[in-house]
Amino acid sequence: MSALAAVQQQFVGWLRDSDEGVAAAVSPQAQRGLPVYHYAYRASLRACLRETFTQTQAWLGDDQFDAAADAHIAARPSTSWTLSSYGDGFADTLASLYPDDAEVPELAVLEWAMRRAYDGPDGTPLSPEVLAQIDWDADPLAVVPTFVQWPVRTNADEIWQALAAGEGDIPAPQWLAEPCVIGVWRQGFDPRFARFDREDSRALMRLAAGASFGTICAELAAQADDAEAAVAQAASMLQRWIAYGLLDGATGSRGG
Amino acid sequence: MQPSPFSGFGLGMRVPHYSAFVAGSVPVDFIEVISENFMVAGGRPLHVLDTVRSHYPVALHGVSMSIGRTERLDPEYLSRLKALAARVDPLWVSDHLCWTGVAGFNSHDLLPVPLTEEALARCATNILEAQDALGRAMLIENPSSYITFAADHISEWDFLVELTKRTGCCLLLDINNIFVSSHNHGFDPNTYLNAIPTSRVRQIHLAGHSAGRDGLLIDTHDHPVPDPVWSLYAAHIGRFNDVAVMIERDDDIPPLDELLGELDHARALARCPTSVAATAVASTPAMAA
Repeated sequence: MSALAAVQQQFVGWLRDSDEGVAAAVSPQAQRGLPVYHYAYRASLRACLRETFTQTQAWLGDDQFDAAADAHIAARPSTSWTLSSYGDGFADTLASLYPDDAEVPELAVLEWAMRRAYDGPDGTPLSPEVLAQIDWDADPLAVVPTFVQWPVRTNADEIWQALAAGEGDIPAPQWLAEPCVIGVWRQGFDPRFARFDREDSRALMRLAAGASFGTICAELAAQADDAEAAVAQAASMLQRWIAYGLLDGATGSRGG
Repeated sequence: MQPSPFSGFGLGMRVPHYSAFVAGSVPVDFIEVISENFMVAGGRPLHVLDTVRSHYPVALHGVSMSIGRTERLDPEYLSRLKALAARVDPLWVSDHLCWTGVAGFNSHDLLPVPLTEEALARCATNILEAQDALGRAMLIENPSSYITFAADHISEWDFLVELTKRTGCCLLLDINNIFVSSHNHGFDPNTYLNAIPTSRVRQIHLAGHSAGRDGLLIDTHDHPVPDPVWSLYAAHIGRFNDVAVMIERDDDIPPLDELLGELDHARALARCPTSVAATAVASTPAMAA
């Protein structure tokens, strides 16, 4: 190993674990400067987590959040060139630290998804002209590229909403009575989220895979006792997808 | 190809002032943005950047290239930076004389490079790779540092000058960083500045710092430009023709008017620079080396 590689490995050891090995490579009178780097490494990662998980921090309180951030920093060094990736996996750290408080990691998952949506890929605006030209029976519908969804067990979304609104009356954490999915996407420049029921979630997955609205209707009708009610349900879903900005302007452009 | 010189006075664009820059109402000649903040897929950041670019020339300033690392540069990073540069058509692309991590670890800090021949060769190789990937010569900035290595045998100014010779890169001189490092390591900042060939300098950063523990100065960018840094700038700005001067503030960001006031001061000093001899007081008392 070259001298440069050795000193850089020692330096990394110092940043991560205060490994004193690097001290030998540093001029004796300059050793007082090493703690500056040690402090800065942790401070930048902690600041990144605070900035990304604002409402999770508000829910836990500063001391608990910082303790969780320090545990995450110790367990998971940053591996990406971009600091904006560092929040990935923080929810897993919280899940291990708060096994009996499922709303804590679910809050973090929600905030991380919104952070990703914030600067995720742009979609194509869905214009009235595109809407007017769609062959609803045949054309595949497209979902905006930032859309992600996952199952949840708690009312973490309601807690997030109340915390973000600065409401004094924050709901108590609760298990959801029915299985539910949270979806996150970006509408314009702003990340959004909403709850979706099982059928809605499944339909969105089918859309993302390139299904047409006609296919969605047929599949809902095949599973329902009342075909007319199923079609009405599909129409209601479609109305909501459009209102939420979930349909991408590439809809219909991939051919039938 | 080296970036064309640009003469003017600008600011670093930071979030609290985005709306003013988007409106195009800030009286500056150029702006500098942190490249990594815009090396994203889409959304508001790129919309902001596209809009301000329609109003101002933009310099791309990076913090993550890690030219001092012992490995090759991250190809994904270079690819994204190249795409950003193609989008922005910047005045130039800059980064620091530093390394940020190795072997999959990233500190997100500007770590000091040992001032050795081995490190010089490594930095030169990485700069050449970056310039080849980007299709343009880069600007390399001197960082602040808080340690020196036992193996150091080249001065930082000679290290930078040699990099310009080996790679064709230009320089971004941070006057505050020179002052901070001169204080921390006990050299004369005028010696540093006098050694730099002015024809290689495209940009100058002016910033503030904080007093840390054990007598160190820390490059925090959370204060106005202090008098000793102004003095150092005033003593040397007369040597530089066609250079872009910028106030760099990253924390405790004040109202825009305060930064513009500092920029006015930088303009005034550039019009009436003082001589190096008259401002020898800008040198900090040498500390035990």
